[in-house]
Amino acid sequence: MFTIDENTITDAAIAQLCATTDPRLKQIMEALVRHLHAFAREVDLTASEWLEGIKFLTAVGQTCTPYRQEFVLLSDTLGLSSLVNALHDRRSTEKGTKTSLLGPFYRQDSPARKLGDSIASKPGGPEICIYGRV
Amino acid sequence: MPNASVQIWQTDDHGTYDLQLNDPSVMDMRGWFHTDPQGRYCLLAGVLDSDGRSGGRYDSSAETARVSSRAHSFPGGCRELVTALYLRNDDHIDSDTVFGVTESLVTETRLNDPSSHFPELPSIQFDFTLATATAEDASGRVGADPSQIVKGQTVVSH
Repeated sequence: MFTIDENTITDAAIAQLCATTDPRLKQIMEALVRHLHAFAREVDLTASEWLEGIKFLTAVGQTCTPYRQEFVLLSDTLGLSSLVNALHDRRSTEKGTKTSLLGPFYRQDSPARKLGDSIASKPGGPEICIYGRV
Repeated sequence: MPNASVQIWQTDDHGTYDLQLNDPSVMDMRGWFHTDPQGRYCLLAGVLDSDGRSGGRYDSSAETARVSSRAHSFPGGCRELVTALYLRNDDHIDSDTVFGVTESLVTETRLNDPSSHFPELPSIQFDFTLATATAEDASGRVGADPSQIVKGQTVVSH
């Protein structure tokens, strides 16, 4: 049995993951627990601050709808999305155009158009031509 | 890269995406294109002026358009590229709250561009370079259609 204190709690929580069979998932979750606990110890997190964090994450979740993904925006503003993009580009075998954020407003079934068409259905305002090669 | 898919989406001149304006079944200011046999693409988009963009944008950056490109015809396959183009003269070019702006994605608008198919309109010329697909992440998309996250289908194939 563990004696739980501010340091041994980390190993105890990681021990809970021993039944995780997927080795990559296990690696990710162990690291997440270790870094999360280290964060709390570093700032000496209080109970009321912890509750503020829970309230914030709750508000983020409640803002989500089937077409609005607030957690993606949170990831974007924390720099996590850009970090994952940079790691993704680093795994490439050669240098292509740099990746940027997909953003929360991507739709997978957008309309098919012919070269030279406008992407706006009601092009009333000023237009710009974007062109090049892939 | 002939017959590569180029998907592009942008906000209106108030910085708002269709998804924020309409019923989700309405899609506007976005579209799929396929490159010609020489790998060329060409399209018309709305001009985003600085005044309009400072209002409702979620990222207040200088982004002019987001682009996703896939090539189906390349032997061995290419990594899908998801990126965005930004305008150098935008007031917010150095204050992107989501850290998407990077020097190589910053573009400039040209006037009277003789190489453009629409020389009477302002133009942006940008070539995309796709990397060869790697075994571990050939799909390569970082992100997903928000509605697909809810459905639990985060990997999309066209």
